[in-house]
Amino acid sequence: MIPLTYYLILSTIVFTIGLYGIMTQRNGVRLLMSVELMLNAANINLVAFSSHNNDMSGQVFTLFSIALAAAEAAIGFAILLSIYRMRDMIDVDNINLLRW
Amino acid sequence: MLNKSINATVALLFFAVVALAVVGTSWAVVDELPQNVDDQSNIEAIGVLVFTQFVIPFEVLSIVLLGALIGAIYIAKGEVEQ
Repeated sequence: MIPLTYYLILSTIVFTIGLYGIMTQRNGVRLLMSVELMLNAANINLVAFSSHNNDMSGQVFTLFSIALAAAEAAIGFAILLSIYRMRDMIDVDNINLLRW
Repeated sequence: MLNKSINATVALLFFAVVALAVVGTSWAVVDELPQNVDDQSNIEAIGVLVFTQFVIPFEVLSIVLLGALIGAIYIAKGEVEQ
């Protein structure tokens, strides 16, 4: 049986990679990718605790969290698309006007 | 380049803090994972749970997904050629 701390270390590693990605990426699409990475790290934690405490509700909640991550990614890409259509670039540093 | 190294150190510090916290605490877990042989990947148990205990969140989730995707399509549609 894989002890719980290995899962938690793995999810911390994945979360750190996502965090580093968010801090350094300038492209909007890569930013959304690292957000997804952080979300999946949280899902790993959820499933690990759910299976180790013999309670199924954590794994069911992970399904809901994955579905919501999909909806959020769809909205994020739609916004990026409309920004690209207006400004011909999705460089996150240059998008600073709330109203253009 | 300096910016990247600052980000890397921040990420590594975050990792160190959380990893120490994870290793430090003693998790009260069952020592032998309960394996019921017939439902090895517990898909059956998840299915039963979703449609008995979590029915309302399941339905609300479908409405939320529908709304989100319709919104995404509307945002991405852009200017219709008038």
